[in-house]
Order: sequence, then structure tokens, then C-alpha cells
Amino acid sequence: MDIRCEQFRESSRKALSDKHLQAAMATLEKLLTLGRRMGFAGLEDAESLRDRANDIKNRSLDRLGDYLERLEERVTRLGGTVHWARTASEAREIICRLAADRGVRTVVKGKSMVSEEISLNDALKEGGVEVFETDLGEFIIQLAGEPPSHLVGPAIHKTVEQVSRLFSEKFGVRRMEHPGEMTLFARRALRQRFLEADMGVTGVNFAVAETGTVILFENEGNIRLSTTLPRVHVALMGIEKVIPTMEDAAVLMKLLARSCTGQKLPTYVSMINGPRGLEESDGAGEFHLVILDNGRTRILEQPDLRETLYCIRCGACLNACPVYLKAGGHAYGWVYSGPIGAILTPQLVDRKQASVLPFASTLCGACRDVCPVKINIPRVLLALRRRYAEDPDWEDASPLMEKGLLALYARITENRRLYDAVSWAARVVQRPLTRNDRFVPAVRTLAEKTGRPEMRPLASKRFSRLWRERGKSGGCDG
Amino acid sequence: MGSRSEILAAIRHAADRGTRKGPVRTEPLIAGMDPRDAARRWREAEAGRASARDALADAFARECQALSVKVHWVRSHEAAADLLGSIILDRGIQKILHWRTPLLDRLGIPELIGRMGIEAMESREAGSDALNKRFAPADAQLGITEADYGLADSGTLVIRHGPERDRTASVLPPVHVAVLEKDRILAGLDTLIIRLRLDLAAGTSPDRCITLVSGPSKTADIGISLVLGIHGPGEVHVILLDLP
Repeated sequence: MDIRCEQFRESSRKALSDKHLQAAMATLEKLLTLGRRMGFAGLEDAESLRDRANDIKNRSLDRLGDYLERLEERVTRLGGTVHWARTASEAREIICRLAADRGVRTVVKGKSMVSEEISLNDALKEGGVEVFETDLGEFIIQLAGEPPSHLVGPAIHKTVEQVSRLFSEKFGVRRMEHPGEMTLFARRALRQRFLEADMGVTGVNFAVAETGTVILFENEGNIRLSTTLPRVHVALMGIEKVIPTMEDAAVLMKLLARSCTGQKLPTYVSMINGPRGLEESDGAGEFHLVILDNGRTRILEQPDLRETLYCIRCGACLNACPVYLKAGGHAYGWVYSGPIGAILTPQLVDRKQASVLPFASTLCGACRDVCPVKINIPRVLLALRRRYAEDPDWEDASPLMEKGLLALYARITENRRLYDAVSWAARVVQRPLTRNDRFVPAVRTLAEKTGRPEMRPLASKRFSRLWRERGKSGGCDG
Repeated sequence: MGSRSEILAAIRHAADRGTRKGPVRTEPLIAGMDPRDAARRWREAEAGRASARDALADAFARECQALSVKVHWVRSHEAAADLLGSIILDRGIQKILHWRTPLLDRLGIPELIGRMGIEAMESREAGSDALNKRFAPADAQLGITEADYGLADSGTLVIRHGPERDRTASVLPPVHVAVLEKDRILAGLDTLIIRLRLDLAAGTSPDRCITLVSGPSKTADIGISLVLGIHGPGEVHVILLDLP
């Protein structure tokens, strides 16, 4: 997928004036946060479950190599094949070669962010393979040629009317009014695809090292169909998806759906142990697990960034984030959006391109409060900001003047007397330029022209002075 | 083998750089539940189930209702067959897929099919590559399976697949009917995991696929409006066998 992170400001501005998007985000936020709260209310030990989940992820990463080897051994013993891909291009190559070798002409896909990360669809298409996204949201954005806007609902940025028009244009059918009709239409349109497909490609929610089990979550049924009907199943996973045991999986399973939509479990959980058995009449005859690095080992190396890999892709942080809920998913410019996108993308793609993302946050911590695996996202955001400011390998194309001004600001605020002096001087200097606590029109025009329309003068009275004055007259109430 | 060793080396290098949080791990790599513990807990769960059968079944039915799953309580095999017959009749269903299992045989499914004059295909035939199937599996309007367990706290059906227990019957047709024996309702996911742990310890080869079904297929991808039956069945029935 194309990287457009550097357009964050522009995209988010557009998003702010997109009435439908704002309404959709507001609805999503209400539904999913309520759902999450209700889902967690039913858990008697939610806090300790989150602690256990954090520990499971930590333990898994501590001995990641061992767990991946064990996973490989188990999957192989079950009759599956394990492939290792260092880079996105290698992963594409592996899957395309597999498709070519097995005479695959059509592929059906379940929703998989990692497959978008490696831009798999385009590669398969170049090899002459037809690729059908089968998750309804993904199906819609595939038709529209757009990137996903939300982890759970990739197409929520589209109105019902827009989807209706899209179906009508692409399939030559009459315009439909209701989501029910359109959903039924999509079901019919995709049924034949499932029946004829040669290969199903999915992601992986959890890979259990002890047993070689791949666990897949979904609500629609497209993943079940993609792993039942075609003769080949390819499951693509980042290295961080492996966990030690089924008991560990149960902890994470209890948290994932609750954090995502408030459901106790998604409609379907598939626990797959290799290809189908000899006597079975359905299920893929071939099972391939592609284990992907693509920069994750580098994340693993950094003690202060490592927890980025704990993420189980629930989307709770998106639903809690005041920035994401206004800016929308497209603004983040890549596969992963919201708070997790802000910390993951800069570590996986070109650092300069993604440099705005760690700064697109108020550090309010709402994400940290809802994360089922207790990733301290604000802490990671600050660590990334520090790198962009100080680490020569990360240094972003910040103008020297901005760096200089920030250093000066830091110096001033560290020293009380200096701060008071500068503060007083600034107020003296700005007085002729301000009226009623706003800049005079001439200055305001200049501010707009230089792209800083929100600039305000310093308040005529400092808060500390107001506080002292109010205190003398008996203080304030409330 | 190049990438494999590169990735594992990179991981080891990351570990060597002291990225471990906390003390060095000395516990075993795989530390699942001790099988003896699991056996004890399974026995406790069974005892609990025996004394709380009704409570568990009630909880299961409540959760199912919240998920729009229809639960039908029956006290005999004949009643189960009659119920199935009425589900089929009410919907004017003509083509069904069904598992062939001892339990479903006891329900008299083959006879029922004969009496009703509908077309039925054993779903294992549906999944095969045979060319002259009775009808196209995609045309089936209803699928009948068993459920190995129910999970009371989430209204979930646990289906272990295998040679006579295919996946197609419960996912391809628009209506799914699952026959579940009342005393196979477990408290929840944790109890199921204990069962799987015991099977693992006993050396039984794992099921190639286990599906947990919680309600009908659903999506809200268009206009955040909930619609049932996008790819999987939009209608799910549980025939709860409560034999005396």
C-alpha cells in the first residue's frame, strides 16, 4: 500500500470537514466504547486478565526464537509447510511462487492487515492471479480502490448511498436502498468466488507454539469459507503473533473480542491444526504458514519500543483516541492507523515519511487505558519523539530554526527567574500588537498567511497573577 | 534456509542486547497447565455440571437468545426429529446437507428425510470432488450438524471437525441446525481449554479444525447497520437434547 503519512495535516483537515465521516466516527465511538465497557463489565477479573496478557506477550517476545522454532516444528509435523520471509518483497515472492506452482488462478482473502502491509494483492495480480477480498468492508474498498479507514470497519467512511452507487456502477445492477439488500447482494456475488477459488489467504490472530494451532477470529464467515473450500490455505503472520500455549491463547481470546466490539467471542473462532486429515472431505489439503519479519526484529532490539509488538490488533485504542476519531484512518497514511499506527508505522516504513505520526497525539493516554495488553502507548510515542529530535539515524527534516527555538524554549522554562523576565518582556513587546487579548488584524493576516491562523498572543495577565489576585479577594468557587 | 537463519539470528541478537524486561527466564519454554491439575479441574467441572445442569443450560439459552440463536428444548429423540421437521417445513426447505453420525441416526434423520420427500446429501459427499453429486452444495438451504459442547457464558457451540464431521454443513447453507446434548454444556472457554489440555496429554491427535460458533454470521460494514447472514448462516438453531 502507498505510504502517505506525510500528508497527515492535509488529510486530517479534509476529514474534519467530511460531515459523513465525522458522524460515522462519532457513532462508531459510541457503539464500540459502550460495547467494550459492557464486555469488560462481565469479566470478574478484567484487570488481572490484562496483566496476564501483558505478561504473556512479554514472555513470548523474550524467547521469540524458541517459540517460532517450536511452532514451525509442530506445523510441519501436522503436515503444513512453514516459510520465513525477511522482507515484504520476499513474502510476496513466496506466496506468488506458491500460487504459480499450484496452478492457482483465483484467491479469496480474509481481512488481513499484514497482507496489505506487504501489498500482496498487486503482486498476485501481476502474476495473473485474480484476488477477491471477501470481508464485506474490504470488498467495498477493493471495488472503490481506497485504503481502509478503520481496523474493524474498513469502509465506514462510505455512506450507504455511496456503497449503493458503487455496487450499481461496478455490477450494473439497480440502485439498492438498504444495507440488508446490499449485504445479500455481496453474499451472492462472492459465493461463487469461494466455490471456485484455488487458494485462500488469511492472516493469523494467534499462533500457538505448543500445538502448532493457528487461531482465526471473524464475524462474517468469509474466513471459514476461505479455509474450507479452496485446496490451499496460506496464513500470513508477523513474528510477534506466536504465543506459548492454548491457556495463553484463552487469556488473549477473552480480551480480543471484548476490546474490539464488546463481544465475548466473535461469531466464529477457527482453530486450525495443519491441513485437513486424510479422511476429511473439506478443509484445505495444503497449509502454508508464512512468518514475516519486515522490520519487526529491529523493533524487538529497542527496549523502549519493544512493547509495540505486544499489539493484538483489537482497535480499542482507535476507538478511544480523540485525534483518530477526528482525523480518520486515511490521515495516518498507511495500513495501521490510530495510536498503534502512530507508533508502528514509523518503525516499519521510511522514518522521514512517517515523522509526523508520533507528534499527532495529545498524549492524553486514553489508548493506554483501554489497551488489553497494556502497551504504554504514550511512553512509546515520547520515545519515538525523542528519537526524531535527537537520534542522528532518525532525525527528521526539522528546520534548524525550529530546533534552535525549542532548545531556547527549554532553556527559558528551566529557570524560573529567566522565565519570569522573558514573560514580562514579551508582554511589554506585544502590547501594541494586541487588543482585547487578540492580535490586531494586521498581525492576524500575517499569521494566516504563514500557515498559523490559530496563533494567539500571551494572555494579558498571567494565570499566576490572576490566582494571587483572586486569592486576595476570597478565591474562586467551583 | 537463508531467511530463516537471518530472522532467528536477528531475534537472538535482539535478546543479547539485553532487551529482556526483568530477570532471565529459567522456567520451561512451554508451561501449560499440568495434566494432573487439568484432570482434577475437569472432574470438578463435571461434578459442578451434574449439580448445576439446569443452571448452565439456562445460562447457555439466555446467551444464545441475546445472539439471536434459537434454542429448542426437547426431551426425546422423536421430539427432536419432529422439531427439525417443522423447521424444514416452515421454511419450505427442499435441499439439506447433513452429517451422518450415530446421534443423528438416533434422531432418525434418514427416515425424516424420506418421509418429507426432500433432497438430502451427506455433507461429506458435498465436500468431495465427486462430479455427480445429488445437487450443488451451494444450493443447500439448511445444514444439520452436532455440536460437541456448548459454552454457557457466551452461548457458543463448539464443533470439532473430522472425517464424518465436515465444516461445510455449518457454514455454507443459510440455515444451520446443531444438535447439542444438554449435559455437554460447559461453563465457558476455560473448561474447554482444560479438555483440550487433557486430550493433548493423552496423546490423541488434535482435531484438524475446531470451530467455535457464537450466533449467526453478521456484519455492520455498511452504514454501521447490523445485518445477519453475510457469508455464513443468518439463522442458527440449537436442538437441545434434554434426555431423562
